[in-house]
Amino acid sequence: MLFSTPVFVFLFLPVFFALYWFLPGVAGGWERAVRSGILLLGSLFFYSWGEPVFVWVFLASACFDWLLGWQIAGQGRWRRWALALGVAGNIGLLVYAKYTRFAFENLNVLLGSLHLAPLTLPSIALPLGVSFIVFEKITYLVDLYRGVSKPAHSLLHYVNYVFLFPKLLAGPIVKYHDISEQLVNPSHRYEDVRDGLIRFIVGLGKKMLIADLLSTTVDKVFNLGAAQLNPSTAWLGIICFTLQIYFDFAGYSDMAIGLARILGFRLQENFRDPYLATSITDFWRRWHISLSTWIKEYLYFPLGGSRVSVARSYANLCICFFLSGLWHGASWNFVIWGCYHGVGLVADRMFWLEWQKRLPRLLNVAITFLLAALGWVFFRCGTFGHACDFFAALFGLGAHALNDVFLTNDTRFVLIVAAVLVVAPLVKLPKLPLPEMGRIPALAGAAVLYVLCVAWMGISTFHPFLYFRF
Amino acid sequence: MKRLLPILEKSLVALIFLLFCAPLVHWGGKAVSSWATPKICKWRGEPVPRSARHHKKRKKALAQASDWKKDITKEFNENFLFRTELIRGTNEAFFRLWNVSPAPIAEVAIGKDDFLYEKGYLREYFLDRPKAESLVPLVEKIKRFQDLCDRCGIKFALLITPGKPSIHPEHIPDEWMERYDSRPRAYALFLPLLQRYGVRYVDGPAITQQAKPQTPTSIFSKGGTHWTYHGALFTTNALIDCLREQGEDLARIETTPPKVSNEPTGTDTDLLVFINLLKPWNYPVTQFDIKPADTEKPRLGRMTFIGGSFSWQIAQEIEASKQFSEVDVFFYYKIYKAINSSIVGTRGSMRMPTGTVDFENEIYANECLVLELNETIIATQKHLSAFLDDAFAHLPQRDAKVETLAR
Repeated sequence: MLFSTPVFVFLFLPVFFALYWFLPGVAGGWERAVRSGILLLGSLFFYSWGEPVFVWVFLASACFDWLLGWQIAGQGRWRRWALALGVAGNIGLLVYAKYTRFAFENLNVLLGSLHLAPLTLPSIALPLGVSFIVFEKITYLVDLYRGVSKPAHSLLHYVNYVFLFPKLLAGPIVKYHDISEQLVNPSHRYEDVRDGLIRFIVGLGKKMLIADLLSTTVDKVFNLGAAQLNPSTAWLGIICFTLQIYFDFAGYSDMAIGLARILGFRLQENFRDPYLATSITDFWRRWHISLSTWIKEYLYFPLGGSRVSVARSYANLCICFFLSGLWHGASWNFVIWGCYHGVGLVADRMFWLEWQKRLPRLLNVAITFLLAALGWVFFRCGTFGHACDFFAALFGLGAHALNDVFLTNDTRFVLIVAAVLVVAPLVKLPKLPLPEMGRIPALAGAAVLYVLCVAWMGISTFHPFLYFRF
Repeated sequence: MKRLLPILEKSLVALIFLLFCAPLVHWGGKAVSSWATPKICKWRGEPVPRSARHHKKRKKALAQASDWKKDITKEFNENFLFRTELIRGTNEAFFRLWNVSPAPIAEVAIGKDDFLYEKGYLREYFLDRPKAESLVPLVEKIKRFQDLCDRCGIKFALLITPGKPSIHPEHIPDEWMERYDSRPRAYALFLPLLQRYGVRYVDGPAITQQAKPQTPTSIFSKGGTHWTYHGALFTTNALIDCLREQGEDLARIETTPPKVSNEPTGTDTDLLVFINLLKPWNYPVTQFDIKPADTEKPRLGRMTFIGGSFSWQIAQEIEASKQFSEVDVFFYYKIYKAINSSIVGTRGSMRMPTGTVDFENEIYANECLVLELNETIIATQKHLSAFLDDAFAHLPQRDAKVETLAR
């Protein structure tokens, strides 16, 4: 069930919120438990809508984690082994579901080169949001081992942490210690509901009215063969995709944060104007923040971080981004994309962060935007060959052929709106004398935006979230 | 002011919640009312009894429905409050503001003076350029089938029908005009091949182009992807001429004097209907009636078309002239069959079960056979090749030996 589908917006959301807010009121002293129970049932229903089989696997594995957690948090001599078992179990689940087929495909290439018979490819369906769920479960176990957080007293709260539906399918990746208190005692303030509602609608607008509209052009461009590409089409495609992926993913994150806020949870921000970054290092402080902080805390630091030799810290960065690429998808193109950014970070540390100080900020922003956009070629193209053809077209080395991709008036308009929204944070708005004065137009705008989104819901065919694949 | 703002703010929050809940309330209301209304049995007109047993059965059937999620999703995707109005409003806004049709499936280009074109046709006209060699196998098959028809005494013609862009290039948007690939189109490569192999064909695009100044309104209507009945008439008569040359006793089609109407209907509005605007337009189209041919003369046997949507107008015009006892259309060969404009077979599933074509009776027992091919799908067609392959696999009993020897 996607956040931008009528069945979610018109059926799940009203029914779930009605139950979540009003039913606990009649439960007397059991209010909190009833609310947690409703949250869990709602989340399980939400997940099982798309994954009726894997929901049981994750549920069982969450129960196992919870039990292991007590062992890890204790003082026993087996806690290290318990952690290793928990992490290995979760990684194993991820590897099995996501990378088995990829491993077999690569093995078959190797066998083919040795003139040996290929293996039969296993057909394993990729469970929705598996990468996010596994990372969060690992977070819980590692945090317990480090003593950063205490084990969840109730299984209900832990399973709610794993299955909390707003962030379940595509993040933000929530660390247990950030949310443990809220799971026990979520807030129920009118302000949270109001702000969460606005945030959800803004996210819906970003996804439906910008990302989905741009996707038509993007799909057309990236479906063209090498013989039909020319430089202007390729640049149109990559600029549209650069904005599409941002508004798609940031829109999803806004919706997730907004929904969680309505439920009384505060989730970590996932984006902070990434296309205004002045370097690749800065970009990763602003793009998919929950993933980059996860990688930093649970991978980069354990590898030694920057406290090792310079060469080793560069190697650590490359390892982290290699794995980050692989996390995004079981394809060499994602690995190349990850390594591209890893090399960018190493270059930043070696010289670029020093050199760029001599350049004006806007030029640094433009350079970083261009580098990020070029990186998206690997991300969007299905194969390495396709990416090479696309780069050839971008730099005028391709066929210069005619094709039927046009910059239509609606796309032009959306591109302008998207560009304005990207650079808008540079403009500082004056403070209003009464905070309510700002909220009235925001709410009125949200109401109008919601109607526009519903109208587009009718028009559009299915546009799954891009980050769903991961 | 300070007191008023929080009230206004809370009212707006309530309004947003109302917007979220309205579709569910509307859907629930509809469900309750449909549940409460007695259903009428189609065959008797009696109310279905709502016994407890009936409810149980209904419940069980619902529980057994394997695709309940799909059904719910479909229900909510297609039935939310004001959906039709919102869709039409959005389409209208996109059309007025940006001169585009937003529906991703619509694939409609809006040309000058709001002439509508299907993008697939534009792509073929401007960009798709096949090699002549790729067309040879089709031409060879058609020639072989023509010879087969000749031996069986069936009058045969290949009918090439025009596409909107080649007849009305004057309305195509400028952005497309800049992208014309100067290499020859499939149509230009196809005609010399047909001549070289001696295939009898009717060149609809050339005939229609010549007829363009003779029609009071455009050959293809502003909001249609197909030619108008009046536009098709010139090619229909050319087809009749081609069959007459083979000895068929046919008369050219006569009509009442054409009138210009400002209320287009049917295929003259198919693209306009597709882009689904708030207010449909009116534009001039030519209308006329076909006079039946000599009623004293006995009708000829059966005429069959194997072709696409452009066959329809021609088949209907010939049928209206009442010269054949039956005019059939095999729509894209196996999607469905129409007998005298009435669709038979399984249109719902859009496919006739394989093997339902009785070649001996439905194909080889015809008086006339016409293979129709639109100029825009010459290089990409599949229906004619499939038909010809099947026809050669089911040779007529009277000719099987000859054909085997000929091969």
